[in-house]
Amino acid sequence: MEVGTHPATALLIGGLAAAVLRGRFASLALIIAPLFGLGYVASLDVGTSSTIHLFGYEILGVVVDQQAKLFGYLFHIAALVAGIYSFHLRDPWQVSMSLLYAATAVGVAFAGDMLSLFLWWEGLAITSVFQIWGRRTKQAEEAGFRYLFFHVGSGLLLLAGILVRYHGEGADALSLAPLTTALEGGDLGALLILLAIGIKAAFPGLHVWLKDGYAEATHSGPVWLCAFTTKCAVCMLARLFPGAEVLITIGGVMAMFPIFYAVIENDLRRVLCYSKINQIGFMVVGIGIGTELAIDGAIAHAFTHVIYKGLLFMSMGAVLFRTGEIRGSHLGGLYKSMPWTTGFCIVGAASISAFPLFSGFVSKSIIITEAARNGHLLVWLCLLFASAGVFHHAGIKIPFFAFFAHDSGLRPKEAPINMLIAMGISSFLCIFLGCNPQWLYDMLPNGAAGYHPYDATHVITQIEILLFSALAFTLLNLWGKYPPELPSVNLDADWIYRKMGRGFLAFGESFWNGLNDRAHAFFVGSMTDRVCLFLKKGHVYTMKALYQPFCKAGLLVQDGSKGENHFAKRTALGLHPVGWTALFCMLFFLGFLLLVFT
Amino acid sequence: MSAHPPKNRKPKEQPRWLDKPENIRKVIRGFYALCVLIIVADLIFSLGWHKHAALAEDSSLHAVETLPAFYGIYGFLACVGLVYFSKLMRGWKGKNILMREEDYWEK
Repeated sequence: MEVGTHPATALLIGGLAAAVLRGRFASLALIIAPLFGLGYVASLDVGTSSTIHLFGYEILGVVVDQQAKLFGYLFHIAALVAGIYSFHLRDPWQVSMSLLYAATAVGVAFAGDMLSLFLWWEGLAITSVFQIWGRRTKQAEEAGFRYLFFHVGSGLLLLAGILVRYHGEGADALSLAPLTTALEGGDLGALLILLAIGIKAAFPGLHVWLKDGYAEATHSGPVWLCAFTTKCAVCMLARLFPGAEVLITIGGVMAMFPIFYAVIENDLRRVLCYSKINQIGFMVVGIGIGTELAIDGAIAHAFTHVIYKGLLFMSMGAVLFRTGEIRGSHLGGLYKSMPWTTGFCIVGAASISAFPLFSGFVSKSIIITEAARNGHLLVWLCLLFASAGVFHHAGIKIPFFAFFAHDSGLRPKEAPINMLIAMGISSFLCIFLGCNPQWLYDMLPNGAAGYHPYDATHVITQIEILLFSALAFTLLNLWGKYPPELPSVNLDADWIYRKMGRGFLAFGESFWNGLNDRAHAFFVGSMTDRVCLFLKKGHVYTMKALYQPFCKAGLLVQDGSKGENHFAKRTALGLHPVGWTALFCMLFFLGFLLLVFT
Repeated sequence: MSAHPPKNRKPKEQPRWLDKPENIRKVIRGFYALCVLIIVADLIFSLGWHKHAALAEDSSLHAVETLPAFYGIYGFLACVGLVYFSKLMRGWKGKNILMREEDYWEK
């Protein structure tokens, strides 16, 4: 059965409208487009698809399955909330690109085959960078280029992988069937595709664009950015690599290393970025485990994550918007003048820490339970560690250092009403999902197979692990052992390629500029001088050399050395007695005639 | 007019509840009480009712995981370890390892 219009159409039209309209009307598109899109996705039936014919190929443009529908809902809700949050923006680039970005994400979720996936994948990269460039500072510009470097690279790797597989297997390779067996069999194409998705999912080593770019974005940028790129990568991982063993290891590492960075990071939005990598690690582990419940858990976690991460970024964006400051060392005591923002931030923090009754609890616990149930002991321990760690840096550190801690003296106004409404909607969803998990579970591809998060064991053990993490934080602070917030940057994996890049630039500069200087000094500096000199003086010397023998032989009269100088001067000026010129002309002419007639 | 500087028009800020140290101490003491409460609840639950373990019976960590307060102790130790390792990541004995000044990349 055919699907009528592409699900992303509403957002696409909204984006184009926002580019053309101005002022409040452009911002209205931010709200109307996602609402229409949401309604349309709700009307789609599972199992339908649509094809388009391009250049003689049949491309499966849209395939509607339960996972696609869920991500469709998610992206439209995220776009709506982010749109309300960004309502006050008057920059047409940012507003229209936000909607187009959301549209490309919906495109990826509903993509039916590799070719349409590639088109939307590239679209993701190009539209998202404007959220970073929108800040219009030099750091943002450079961070945006580094971001593009990674994301366009991801697109190229995806294309390379598709082509390698097409070359190997023909048209079958273009379907979105799972590639797990191919990957484990060492297929190069599958590996390239995994790398491509890995860049967008922030695999360790490939993650630096996230902590770099999002922290340099505008105050509303990360609310958009966090919702789409990485979730599209998770969506594709769930489709293409379910049950791949390597993902368990990768996810475990991803869940562990960022929490260390998050504890010592000063820029609070960068802390949230590291926290994001940690949470995506949970999802990757879930996909790696591969059982139906684990993949359901990963997708459920993606759903709840978008909402509470958006909420956290919104509260930090509000702080940045009102104070111009986002470094923990320079903030504190803001609860006195921004109570609502504080409250919403605490709801987000409770959600990310998986407090019972909040949304994180109903999704994260699935993954952890499945890890334990399937015998992945080390990963289970790592995930527990990561859970405790997440509460530490995102659940406690973010609200504490921004809103409480030492009083910074700043008394910013409360966040503007549109931001408060957006944060309120997200908070409501966090609590709603936390209290009604079945509503979310019913939408999952496998219905979460009868999982019940609210049994006494889970609740008690979860509260226990959280309370004791908080105890550790409290005691370490009271004893003065906790690392203070210091204005600093921490070196991450990007040190390698940034230093290399600068080294390459410096080497190139010194080499080519040195060569240029040498060539200049030689050709322009000395050679031209010498040629000039030769042209000026050369014939004088030649004439003198010819003259000398005649003088010595006594054939010509000269008045001592004065005559020689006189002669040299005359020659330099080109003054010769006419008679000599006539004589030599005649001699040459006679010689020429002799040559011709003999 | 007179050479006096203008009077500070802003009203003096009211001290908030959390500004007083004894209130902070109350909060922290309440928090300690919560921790004890949850351990007691855990103990009652493991001994009285059956707490179903996450790990399978034949798993090597099963015995440890079913201990009451395992999760609490694990969480506490994990966080302490986390904080100490993070401090180490910053620098060792005054020498910076990963920490740099704020404008490191702009120089």
